[in-house]
Amino acid sequence: MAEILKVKGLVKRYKELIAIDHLDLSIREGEIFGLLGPNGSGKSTTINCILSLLEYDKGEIEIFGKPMSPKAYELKNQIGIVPQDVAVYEALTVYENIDFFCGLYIKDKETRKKYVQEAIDFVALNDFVKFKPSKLSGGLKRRLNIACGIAHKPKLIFFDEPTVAVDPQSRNKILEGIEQLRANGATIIYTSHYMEEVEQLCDRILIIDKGHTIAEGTVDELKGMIKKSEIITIEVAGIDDKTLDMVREIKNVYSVNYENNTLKIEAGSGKHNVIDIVNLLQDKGYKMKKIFSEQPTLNDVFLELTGKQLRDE
Amino acid sequence: MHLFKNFFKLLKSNRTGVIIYGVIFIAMIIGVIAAAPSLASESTGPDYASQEAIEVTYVDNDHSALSEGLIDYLSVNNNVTDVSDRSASSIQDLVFFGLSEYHLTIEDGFADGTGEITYLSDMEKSGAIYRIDGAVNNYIQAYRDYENMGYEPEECADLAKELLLDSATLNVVEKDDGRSSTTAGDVVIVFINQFFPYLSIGFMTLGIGHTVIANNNKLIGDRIECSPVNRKKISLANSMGIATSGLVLWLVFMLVNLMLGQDSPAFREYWWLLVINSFLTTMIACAFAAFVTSFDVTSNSLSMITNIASLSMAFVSGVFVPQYLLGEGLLTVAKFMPMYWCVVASNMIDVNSNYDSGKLLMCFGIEILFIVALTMAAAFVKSSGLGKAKSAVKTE
Amino acid sequence: MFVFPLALMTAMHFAFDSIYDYQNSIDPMKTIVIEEGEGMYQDGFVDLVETLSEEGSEDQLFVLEDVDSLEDAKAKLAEEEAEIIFVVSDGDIEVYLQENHSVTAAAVAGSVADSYMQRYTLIADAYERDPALAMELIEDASEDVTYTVSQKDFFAADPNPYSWYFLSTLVMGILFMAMMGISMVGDLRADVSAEAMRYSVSPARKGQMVIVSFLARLIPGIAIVVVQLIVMKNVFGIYLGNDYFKLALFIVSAVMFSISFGVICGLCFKGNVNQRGNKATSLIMISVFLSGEMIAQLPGIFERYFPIFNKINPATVLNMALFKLTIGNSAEGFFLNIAEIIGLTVIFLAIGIAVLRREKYASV
Repeated sequence: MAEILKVKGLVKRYKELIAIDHLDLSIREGEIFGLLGPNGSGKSTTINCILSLLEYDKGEIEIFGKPMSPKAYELKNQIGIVPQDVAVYEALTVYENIDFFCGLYIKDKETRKKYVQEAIDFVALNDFVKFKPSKLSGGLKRRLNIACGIAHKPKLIFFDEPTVAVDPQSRNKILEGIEQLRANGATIIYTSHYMEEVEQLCDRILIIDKGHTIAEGTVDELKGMIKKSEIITIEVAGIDDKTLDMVREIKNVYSVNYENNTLKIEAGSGKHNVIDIVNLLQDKGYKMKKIFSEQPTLNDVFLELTGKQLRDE
Repeated sequence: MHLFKNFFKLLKSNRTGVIIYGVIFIAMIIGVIAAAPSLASESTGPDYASQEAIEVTYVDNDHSALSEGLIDYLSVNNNVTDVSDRSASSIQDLVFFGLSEYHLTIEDGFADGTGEITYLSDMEKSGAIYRIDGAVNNYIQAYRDYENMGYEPEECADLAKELLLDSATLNVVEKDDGRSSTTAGDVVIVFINQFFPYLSIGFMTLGIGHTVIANNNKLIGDRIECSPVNRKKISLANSMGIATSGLVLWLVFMLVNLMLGQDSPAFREYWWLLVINSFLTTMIACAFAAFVTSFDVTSNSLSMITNIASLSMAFVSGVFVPQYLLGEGLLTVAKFMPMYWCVVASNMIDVNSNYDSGKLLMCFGIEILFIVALTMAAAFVKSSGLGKAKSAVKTE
Repeated sequence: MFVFPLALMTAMHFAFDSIYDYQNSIDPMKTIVIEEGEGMYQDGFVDLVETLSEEGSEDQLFVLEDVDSLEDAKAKLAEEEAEIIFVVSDGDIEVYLQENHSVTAAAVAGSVADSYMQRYTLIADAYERDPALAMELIEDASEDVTYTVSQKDFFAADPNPYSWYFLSTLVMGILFMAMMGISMVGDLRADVSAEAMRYSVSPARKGQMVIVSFLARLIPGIAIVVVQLIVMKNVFGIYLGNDYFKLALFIVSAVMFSISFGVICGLCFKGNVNQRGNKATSLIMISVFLSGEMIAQLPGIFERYFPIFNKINPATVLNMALFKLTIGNSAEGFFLNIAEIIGLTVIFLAIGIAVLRREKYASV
């Protein structure tokens, strides 16, 4: 697959603060690429530098094989943006807004009319075309925001935290829509601090913090980077310290925690982790009520790699 | 074209400022039309009756031959109204607002010498009041003299009236330029053209300016910045929107001039001057609006700037108060404002001003310079980013 | 609210300067007297004009110019080097004026000529009936008898029409405080702003919040107006009267009216707080303009043709109250206008408080 976007050695400083520190990025055609990081990590700054909205201090940015600049109108013609804040005209109706922003890209009236209708159908705003944004709920405004960004059928679309403050129903709709856009041939860059969305949606993910790349890869690759590959939770009463020590000595187990009759074990990669632990407890005569095993999340990945959470709890 | 059309879609939703100045304009026209006859002078002939006619009100508590004779005499050459049914406060209002230029109160017993006759005016020491007060005193003196001669009261009244109606012949020495006196129609045309600079600046800056600053919204600006539309095209669309709106304003104003100028000899003679001057004035207003909106101003700031700038300039430049009444020092300051030159040019059609083709060309030239200067200033502010809204991008 | 009226008044102060004094005076005019023939009539008139040309005299109306012939005099007139020509012959006086002569020139010249002619005719009539009486009249003619008495004290100060602009600007500033009323609506109506939502769901009593919110705006509003009045009086020299109680009553009533008017506007208009504010601004600007802010004669014109409008236009009512209090010196006029303002304020406040106290809305 061709390389759609390439970023090499991007540096952005605000006086002494380094917002982006030698970031490299490569995005292939047709993929949904996730940019994951906590608030203030540099996600939006990266996007805005790529879009030439922000001046940067060092680095190269190429889109569709050509250098990106504020005057690269040919490239801009194929880019769509769905910003984090709803950027629409309060004075215009839903239809007029989509028509206006589509019109910045599509000159032909007939084509534009068709595209605008398709965008309205895509975000399911057919019942609201004559409404002004002030009359729409938050979720509907977000959908309008998306429609304005994708109406002209761009090949590369930037979604900057599109589901912030959105209800679950609208959120699902948005995520489904993004999948649909990819199916239609678009390449998508998706920034978020919601790991669940990124896990669900993205083919590849870049985890960023304080302007640095923390890790990059598929979900599985990222999870494979950390020691923790399984978390086993067993509800069992009255385990003594000696048994706990024995559990600690099982192969691949590197963390054991027993509190409120719940045994929580973190183990590395191993096919028989659960069996080994259950066998041990059974041999010791303990009766187990519940046993479940789960994979680490991206939050676990981030935590292990940086020592902090993706989201402040 | 797309951006240009969008400008007018946004204007439709931001029409509050347009409505404000539309109402002000209409009220101004009505006010000027109502006040015009009293501001104009009539023919050049010897009949100065209407020129000298002033608004007189009276309260007669004496009802004697003297008081009634006096009223009868004053009614010949003035507009005399009995206001005895009005309260003192109401009479005060009439005098203050000029509806009564000279108010007489004749006390009971005046004819017998036991009551007074008092007068009230807001311009006691002016020439017009000098004349009317003189006429009143002369009448009373004449009446008393005829009384001393032995005539009956009614005869005294008649004789006094007859005597005082015999007046000196007033003649006017005409200038060779053949310009006639100001008519009511002329007054209307002169005044609405005098007000036009204030109206046009307010209309363009407040009425149209809101639409321009809607495009200055930071979030929308970033979105448009990401599109393949050249920044120059956006500026051009805004500029064309302002210019088109200005053109429409000018055409409407010309239509109003045409309708009201039918009775105006000055308009028939100098319509070309008003066409050019009002066009240049409109362009100044457009350039001013472009300059103000090139800064990152909010809606409230725009209202404040428009009101302060347009009203202050208007007062100082001779829009609301004729220039010949303003002090020299003030007019020197006013020369640095575009409105001053617009007013100087439009006032040349008034017979009380001197038409001077050289000075007229200078006025036009200076107005063009203001247009160029303001436009260049707007372009400079836009391109240098001095007035650019700080981008909405966050430092994440 | 604070700066704008003062900035505008500063421009007005420089613009109007001494216009009123200029208009309310007669500057001596360059005058030529041409005698045709010789006689008592001509001599008497020339003496009269010379008396009225005495430099430095309170009654000086003319500045005499020496010209030999009528043609020369007319030429001077045409060149605007003289304003008035009197041509006096036996028993008749003709007056010549410039083409664009002022009303003052016509009025004064005509008045002087007429007075002389009429007096002479009267004396001639009296001589035919009773020569002794005629002699008395001749002696009286030298005395300047005036029957009319000026009602100067009808106004508390010079009824300078240009002062209306200052009063009107102050009232405009007060009316713009309606924005405070609109911001009250924004603070307290949960269906207008998110901040109001917080207040609505808090345990604080809504009624109390309304009153506190109103007072929090009223007090600074009054302070602003007081400062503006101090500047008007001490810097611009505008006469504000000596009745400080009534002035205080005006300030409090006007500011309360303005804020409550803003509350009503905020409740009636649709949109967000800014949009409501813009609509209220347009209403206020129109009201202020029609009260004579830019054309001081407008209220007079309405008084003549459509008097009810002056009673319903809030800016005019406020202007009139202030005018009656200051220059007008009319307690009756002041209280009538203030009563209207207070009455409206009470109604607006009652409606405003009742509506703002609401806790539930049809939609939020």
